Amino acid sequence: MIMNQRIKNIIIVGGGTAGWMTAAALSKTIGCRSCKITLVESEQIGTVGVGEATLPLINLFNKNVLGLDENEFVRETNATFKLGIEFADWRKVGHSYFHPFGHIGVDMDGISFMHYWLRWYKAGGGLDFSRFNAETEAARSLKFMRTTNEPGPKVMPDIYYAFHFDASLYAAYLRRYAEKLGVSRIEGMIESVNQHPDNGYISSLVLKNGETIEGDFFIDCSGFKGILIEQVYQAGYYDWSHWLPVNRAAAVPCESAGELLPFTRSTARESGWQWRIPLQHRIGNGYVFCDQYISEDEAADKLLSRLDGRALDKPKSLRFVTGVRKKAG
Amino acid sequence: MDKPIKKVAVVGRDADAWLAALILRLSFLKAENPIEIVLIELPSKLHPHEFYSVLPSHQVLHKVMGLRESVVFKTAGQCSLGQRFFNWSGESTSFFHGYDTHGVPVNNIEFLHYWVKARKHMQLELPLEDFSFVVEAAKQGKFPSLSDSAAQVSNATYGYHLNALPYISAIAKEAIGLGVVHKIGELKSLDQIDGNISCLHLSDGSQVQADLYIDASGEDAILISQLEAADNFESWGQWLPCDKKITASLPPLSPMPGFAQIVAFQQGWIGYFPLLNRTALTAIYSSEYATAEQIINKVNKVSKASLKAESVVQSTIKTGARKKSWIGNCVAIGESAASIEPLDATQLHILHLSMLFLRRLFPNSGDLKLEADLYNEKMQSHLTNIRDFLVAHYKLNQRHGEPLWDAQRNMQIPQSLEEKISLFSSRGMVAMCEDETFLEENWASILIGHGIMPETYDPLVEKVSRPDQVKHFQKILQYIAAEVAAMPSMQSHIEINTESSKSSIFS
Repeated sequence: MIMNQRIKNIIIVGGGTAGWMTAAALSKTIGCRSCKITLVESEQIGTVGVGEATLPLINLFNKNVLGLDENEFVRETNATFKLGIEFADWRKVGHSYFHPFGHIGVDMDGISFMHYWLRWYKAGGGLDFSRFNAETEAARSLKFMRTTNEPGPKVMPDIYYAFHFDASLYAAYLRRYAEKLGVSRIEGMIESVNQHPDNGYISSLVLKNGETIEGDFFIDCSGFKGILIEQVYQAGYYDWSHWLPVNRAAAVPCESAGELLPFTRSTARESGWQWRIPLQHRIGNGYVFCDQYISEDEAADKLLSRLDGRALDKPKSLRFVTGVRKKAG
Repeated sequence: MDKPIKKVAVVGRDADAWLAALILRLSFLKAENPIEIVLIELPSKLHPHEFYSVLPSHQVLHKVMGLRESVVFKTAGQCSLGQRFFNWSGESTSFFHGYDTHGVPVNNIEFLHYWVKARKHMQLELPLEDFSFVVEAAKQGKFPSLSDSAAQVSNATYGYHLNALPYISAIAKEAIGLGVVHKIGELKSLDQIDGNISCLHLSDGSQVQADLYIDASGEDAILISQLEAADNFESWGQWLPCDKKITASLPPLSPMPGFAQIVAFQQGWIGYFPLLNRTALTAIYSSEYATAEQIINKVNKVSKASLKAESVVQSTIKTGARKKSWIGNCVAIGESAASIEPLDATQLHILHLSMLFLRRLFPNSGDLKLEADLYNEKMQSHLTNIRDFLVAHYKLNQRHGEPLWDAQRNMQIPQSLEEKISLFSSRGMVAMCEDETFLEENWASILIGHGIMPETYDPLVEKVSRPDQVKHFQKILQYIAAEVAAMPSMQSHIEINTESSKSSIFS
């Protein structure tokens, strides 16, 4: 990028949810009239395909940034509603607690509800903290509704929720959205990267088929490998594994079973924890573990033996190191 | 200490002491665990000339204390919609820092960026302040009450100019009425056990023991100075060079402005703070460059007054802050925590912050260290940001050829402020830190006011065509004009709120 010149050509490297969320957001906010937006991805590189459980902030992105119709989004991505996360067997086997979205109790006189509850609980009050939260109570009874905006005094707190969705369907949905707004997509694998001789800024990408893609601003959505940020710029990595030692996951979908749960379940296991994410058409499952304590094969077997429905695939294996890049740009 | 706090001793004088005692008393009034609040009042240093210029946050303090606004007017105080700065960029320059946002954002992009484009590329000549509801209200002598629709886009609000002596007398009366135990005295010595105060000895021979001690003695910091390490007080003198203050009274202005005027001159600045019965005046200067006599002459010349040395109050300012204002079982609040010149109306705000965090972290049992550490961290973070805001005025001055101003313009400033100024100069963005007293709009007001014109603006501004932007600007100006026309005058607001209120200043 040359100083004092407006950015005219943005290149996004990598598809998947990260790439297409970026493309969708940029095409909506900046637009493709005065600035060209291109996404480069390859069908040969699979997406991770996890990350199907979200936080309420996803609503800001979907509604406020993109202006998506929520019902359409739910339909297109086989999404379900999520009120929070149940943590099973973490404190001890057989115990579980719920981390809800939304507020717990009502603060009074500038003092957090927590302190009123603590006093009451210590004086013998029997109800758990989470019982003072609408999302938890709804999740317990497998119920869901959106906040109603009826006139008159409020009779219920606002309901905070997020979604479980099929990440590949979400990426495909946002791809249609972004392409309609003018984002171009190029299929190809990146072979090499050219840098500006003066300032080291990336000037173009060369694909395996020899095609050169020029740009003046590049966004790296290539995931853990960091094709640009790490392979070109050596951003470096803060390794958090001494705090968060898990470094592998086995993931497998299974058939839906039982009633649809409006929450994610995270169950502590012998060498990590297992996720359960219910979608409209299946349940996503995964065993996140540390390979120091259990082998990948053993973890996959354990996962298959702990599904609520029939497995729909063979377990896929993922490897990662928890942490964050030292620089994002 | 393993037992809950049963008794708090406040040692100090004037605003810090009385406000702290009242707030603590009210916090635990009718509680199941009543806490005794003892105020050991040191001899007052308040002079009838003194005043407090306070930020809009003081309204929150009134709410906490259950005070009606009439307490301000009944003690001849006045609303303050902001501060008008004169001569900071050379003679005959001025800008207004009003307590409000500017304009109306378009497509979620701040109005400021459109204004920068218009000034740079569209021949706009209007200053940023012309797009502020509160500044327009101030200029027309109005009280800034907004319609519901205007309240969606404007943060128009106001602080006060308080008449120190009668205001604090009213607070003291209420505090005593509500059961604050009041002792007049002077501290002779104090006993310590393991870095905690165990007993206060007063000069009349009596002793006071409490579970928590509040140092509200102002710059003297008579309690905490006996507990702290030698380097606990951090001076800010290199950034804020004025160390002397003169306070006086002039006749009230007519019509009376609802804002302060801050006029820079060769060796410092002079502030005019309208009150209902007088205009409080303060001159803040550096003793390195002028004597009190020279300053009084200067003030007389600028204000067409005839003040004499005996008709003004002279005092010193020891600018800086304590790194730790909570040590052991002693909490230094207000001016004993940090002392800063009244350039941006932050005097009582430091007390406000002290009380806010003391209330939030009021100890219940056990070791006080966790509370003290968090309290000190939060206070320091807030104070650093306030300091930066004041330093910006000095750093960005354009008074060339005057030693004080030349030195401050060329000084090295804290890195946090350096980064803020360079990001704003580059693209009109305010890099907000955690724990800021002043909001983005306040920073934008003073940075633009002191003459920084950002080099570029948010590129998304280009999505609005120039003719559309012109129309938008015209609409905003019309909107502000109509809104301000419908506001009541400041005078009628004061009259209504003084007459209709009952004799009590409490709601």
